[in-house]
Amino acid sequence: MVRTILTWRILGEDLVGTRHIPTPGRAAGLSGAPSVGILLLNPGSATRSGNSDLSVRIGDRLALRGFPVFRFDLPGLGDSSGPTPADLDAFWSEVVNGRNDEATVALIERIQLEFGVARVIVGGLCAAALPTVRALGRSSAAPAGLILLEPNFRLAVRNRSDGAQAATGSGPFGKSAARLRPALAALGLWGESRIARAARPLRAFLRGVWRRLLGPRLPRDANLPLITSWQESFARGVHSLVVVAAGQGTDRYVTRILESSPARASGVVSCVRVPGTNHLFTKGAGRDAVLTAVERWVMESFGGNAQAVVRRRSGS
Amino acid sequence: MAGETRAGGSDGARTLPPPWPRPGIRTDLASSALEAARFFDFADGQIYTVTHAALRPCRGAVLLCGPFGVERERAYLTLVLWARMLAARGFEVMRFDYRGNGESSGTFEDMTLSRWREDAAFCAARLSAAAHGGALVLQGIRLGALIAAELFASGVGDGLLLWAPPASAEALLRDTLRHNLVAQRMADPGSPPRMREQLIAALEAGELVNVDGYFWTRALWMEAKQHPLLLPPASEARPWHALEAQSGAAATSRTSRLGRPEAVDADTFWKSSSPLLVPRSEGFFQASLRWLDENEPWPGSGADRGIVNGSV
Repeated sequence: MVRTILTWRILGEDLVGTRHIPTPGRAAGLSGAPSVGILLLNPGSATRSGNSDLSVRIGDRLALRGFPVFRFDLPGLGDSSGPTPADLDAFWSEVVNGRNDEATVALIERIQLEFGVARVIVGGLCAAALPTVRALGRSSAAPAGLILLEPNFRLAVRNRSDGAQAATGSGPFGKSAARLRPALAALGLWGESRIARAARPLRAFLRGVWRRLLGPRLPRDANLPLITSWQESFARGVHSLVVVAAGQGTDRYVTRILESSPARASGVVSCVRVPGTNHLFTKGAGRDAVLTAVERWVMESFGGNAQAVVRRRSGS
Repeated sequence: MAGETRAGGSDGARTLPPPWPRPGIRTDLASSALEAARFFDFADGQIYTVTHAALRPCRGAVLLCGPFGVERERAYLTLVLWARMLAARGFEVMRFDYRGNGESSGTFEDMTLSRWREDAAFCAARLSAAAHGGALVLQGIRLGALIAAELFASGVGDGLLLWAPPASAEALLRDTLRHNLVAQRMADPGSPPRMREQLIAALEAGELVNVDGYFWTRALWMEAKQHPLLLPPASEARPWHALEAQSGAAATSRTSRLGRPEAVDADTFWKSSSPLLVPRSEGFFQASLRWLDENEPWPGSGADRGIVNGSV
C-alpha cells in the first residue's frame, strides 16, 4: 500500500494530508482517473490518522478497492498550521460555528481539480460530521456521500456517561424524569447499582412508549440546522453511512433523528450499530466492524457505478 | 542560512522570549512554511517524518522520539508545539511515526521495540546527514525515551534529553495496561472486571489483546522485557538530562547530573484527561530549553570545532 503526503495552501494555512494511492483495477469498472474519491476529516481534535489509527486503516482498505483516499489535518490540528483552540469546549464551539466548513469545501474542490475525481465522499468521526453535512449546501463541492462515524449532532460537548446524556431529555417527560431521578437513585433504581442496571430495559421500554405516544421529537440540544441539512439530503438521494456504538448515546440520538423522517431516510441511509464498543471504536471489535461496514457501503453504493473516466483538468 | 556564522551561546545569556505560547495564540506563522512532511522508504515500508527547519542560525538538530499508541495520540499537539518552539530557537527538528503507528506504514501487530529502534536509528542518520556535522540531540518521550537512550548508549548523538522515561519497556506496558483497564472500568462500570495479570497471561499465551484500539502481541510483550532504561554511566562525557512531570514542582535554576530525573511542574500530557488540547507543558519546555542553552557549544558540533555552520 503506497501513500504520499500532500501539503496544500488552503485559506492561508498549510494543510497536511495523506493520499492513499488506489490499487489499479480493483474497483469495478475503474480505469485511469477515478470517478469517486474519499475525504476523511479529523475525528474531533485528534490527528488525521484517527484514534487507534482508524482513519489510516479505512484509507488502506478503500485504496485496495481502487478508491483514492485523502485524509487531511484541518487548520490548527495535527501537522497543519493554524491556531489551535485552547480546550475542547472552545474547539467544539468553533466547530459548531463553522470553523472547519470553508477548509472542507476547499479541500473537496482541490481534490476534484488536482486528481480529476468527479465525486467525493466525505466523512469522519464525531465532530467531522459538521463540516461534512454542511458541505451538502455547497453546489460546487457537495459530497457524493457521507460517512458519519458516531456523528455528533449536538450543540454542546457531550462526552459524559449515559446517565448524564439522558439528563438532556426534553419536554414534559424529560423534566419529570429530571425531578424523579434523585429519588430513584436513592432507591437504587437509577445510576450504576445492580437494581438500576436490571431496570434499564424497563426504562428504555417506557421511554419508547412515551415517544410513540408523543411522536418523534428531537432532543433539546439538537443542532437543528445541521439535522435539517442532513435530512434534506435524503430527498436528493445522497447516500449516507452511519456507524454507531450500539446502545450508546449517539445510537439513541441518531435513532431519534431518523425516526423523525423515516420515509425519506429509507433507502439512502445505512445505519450500522456495532455492539460492545465505544465512541471511538477502540473497544472490542469496533475497529474491524467499522472497516467492514465502510468497505461494504462504499462498494455497494459507489463501486458498481463507476462513471466514464474524468480526465485531469488543467490548473487554470 | 548558508554561510552564516553560528550564533554564540557559551555565555549562557540567551534570553527566552516570554510569554510561553498557549493554544489559541498563533505560534506557527513563521515556522509553518518551513515544515516539511514526507515519507522515507525504509525496510519494507515508509516512515513518516516532519522536519521543522531552524528559523535562526542553526544551533544543532533535535530528533524527537515520541510515545506509541494512545500516548502518541494524546501527546501529538504538545510535541508539534514543542518542535515549533525548538525551530524558532534555532534547532532543526525531526518528528516521526514508528512503523505500525500513525502515518507510517506497517501493521502495529507486527511491531516490536527493536523495530521501532531501527526506525529511530534511520531517522537519526537522516537528520544527522542533513545537519552537516552539527550537533544531534536525541530527545525521547515515554517509549521514545527508552529508544533514544539505547541509541545514545550505542554512540549515536551528541546529547540526550528524556521526558518521563519509564523504568523499562515492561514497566511502561504494565502501566499502559493499568490505565486502559481503569478507563474501561470507568466507562462501563457494569462490565465484568478484568485484571491486568489476566491480560498479561493472555498475551503470553499468544492472544491479541486490545489496548485502546491497538492490538498487542506476544512478541511485543516478551521483547519489552529485554528493554530496561539505559541511563548513561557516570563516565559519559556527552551531556544528558531527564525530566519528569510533577504538579507543583518548583523550577530549578540549574541542570543537575543526579541519577534521577529533574521534576518539572507540568501535566502528564501523554495520558492527560485534561480538556486542554495542549495540556500544561511549560515545565518541560522551560527546563529543556535551559538545558540546551547550558550545554552550548555542543561537543562534536561545528561551533565546538570552530567551523562555520552550514545550512540544514
